[in-house]
Amino acid sequence: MLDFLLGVAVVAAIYGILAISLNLQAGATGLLNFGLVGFFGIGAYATGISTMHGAPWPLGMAIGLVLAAAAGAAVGRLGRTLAAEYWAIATLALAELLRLVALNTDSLTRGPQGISAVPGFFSGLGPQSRDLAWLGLAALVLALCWWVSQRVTGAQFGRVLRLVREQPDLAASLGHDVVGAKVRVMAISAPMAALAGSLYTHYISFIGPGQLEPFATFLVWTMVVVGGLGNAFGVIAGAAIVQLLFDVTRFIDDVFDIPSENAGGLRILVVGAALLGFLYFRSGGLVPERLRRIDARS
Amino acid sequence: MSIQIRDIEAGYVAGVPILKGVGVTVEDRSIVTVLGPNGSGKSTLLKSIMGFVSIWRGEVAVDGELVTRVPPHERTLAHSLGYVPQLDNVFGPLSVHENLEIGGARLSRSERRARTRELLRLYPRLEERSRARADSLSGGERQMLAIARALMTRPRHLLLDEPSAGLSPAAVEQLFGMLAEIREREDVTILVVEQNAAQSLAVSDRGLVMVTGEVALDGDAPTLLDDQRVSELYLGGVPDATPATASRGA
Ligand SMILES: Nc1ncnc2c1ncn2[C@@H]1O[C@H](COP(=O)(O)OP(=O)(O)O)[C@@H](O)[C@H]1O
Ligand SMILES: [Mg+2]
Repeated sequence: MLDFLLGVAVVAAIYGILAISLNLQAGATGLLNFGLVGFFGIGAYATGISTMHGAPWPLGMAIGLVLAAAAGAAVGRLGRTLAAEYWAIATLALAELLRLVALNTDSLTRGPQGISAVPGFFSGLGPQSRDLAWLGLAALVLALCWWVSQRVTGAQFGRVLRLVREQPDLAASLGHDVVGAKVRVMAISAPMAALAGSLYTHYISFIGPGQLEPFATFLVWTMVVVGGLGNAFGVIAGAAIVQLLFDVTRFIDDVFDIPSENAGGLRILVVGAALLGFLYFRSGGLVPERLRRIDARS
Repeated sequence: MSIQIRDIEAGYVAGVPILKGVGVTVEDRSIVTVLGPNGSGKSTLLKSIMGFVSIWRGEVAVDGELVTRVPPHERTLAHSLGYVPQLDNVFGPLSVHENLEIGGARLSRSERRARTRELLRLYPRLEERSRARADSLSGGERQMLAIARALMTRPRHLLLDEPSAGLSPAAVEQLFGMLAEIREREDVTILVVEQNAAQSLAVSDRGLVMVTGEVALDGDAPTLLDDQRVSELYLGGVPDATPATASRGA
């Protein structure tokens, strides 16, 4: 039981990083990124491919971060020509494109079978202390990302982001570079997602195209909505709750005697129900955004 | 020749022009009213001057300089433009004072302070409520705030999108009084989109009527006020006149 909870906590912390990243984009800036998993994938595959060729892990991680920052900035720049709705669709399409590339370039990514035996951390420890160490690491990285996110949204720049989100035309007329702000947010937040991808790959020692399915993005969206779009603290709580829900429902088939091939769909249904429930009954999330506190500082 | 729009085709989505060859001249220090039914492209016309829509043909010049190449966020200062969008044009959770300060984001700190004080003095209603949240203001006060915020940078051109929408008759009257007074005091050119045709034309020098992305009528304000087609047109009727037959360029 403890092992199970520890495992959930590690993955929840890693997803918490993704939730912080998405919250910077969607919550603070109004960037509807439906392709978050693509940035996760860049980090994951940079780690997988680099370590497969014998590179030390920091190099793989660094490559992932740099690539994700560049990709994030490029995707942000698409906002120059694409209206918000079209931008959202484009992110989904780009992430799917990346997944298809991962699936089909066998020589680079080992195609559908994925990259396994990615070296893990803390291999000298026993299983339980290893997970404990992992939890410490993931929590540390999560705290770091949270701190960065607070710096971004709390400062003068955070107010600009909210203007950009609420009233882009008005923000521009007041002299704020709307596309520039989006590019900056993407360049800061996309590497967080890549970091999560890299950590996750080291944690489970594997990365495959199956992990880049749009469902992962949807899961993070659910965490952000449940926690409270726009509130970094709430979003971390949302990540913990949704991840726990998602992992507990793993046992649905045992408890209710459902064929295990149906249980997977049922888990997704539960997450979807949580999302709908919150959108419908508590659209501000568990911890709604505190506009006043963040905005009013001059 | 303060603002010149020359035969522009503009829109939001490639291949779907909203403005289909629109030409408008707003003389220096004049007030020009834009009328027209919903969806006829009035807001888009203002946005094309500010740079929020794509212009595929034609050009926009402010004080004789082409603005089309200047990115939107530079235009306000580079071409001395002030913009008040339609609806939701103040930041509700922020105070009146903070809303004004936001308007001066690109000014130096001392300029911003001085200008905020100056505008609060000019609009005592705002001064009284300077610490109140903007969303606690009445409709008329909000429009006053939105316009005052646009004045923070001392623009020489003011673009207003339906400022009287949803206001009480008394507030509408006050608003148009405010516009006339701003023109005198700030020496600005005003292009205002309006539904209150009669009241807006009364303070304007010229007016134009847009229908489905074209200028259907363009003339002196008094002439338009007397034109019975104007009331039909801006209420949504289809003109039997071909576009731009009225005293264009008057
Ligand atoms: N952001 C937008 N994206 C796509 N089409 C738009 C957008 N805003 C307005 N339109 C379309 O442009 C046309 C003119 O709109 P608008 O300029 O707002 O009209 P008006 O201000 O005269 O009511 C309408 O058909 C409207 O549907
Ligand atoms: Mg309009």
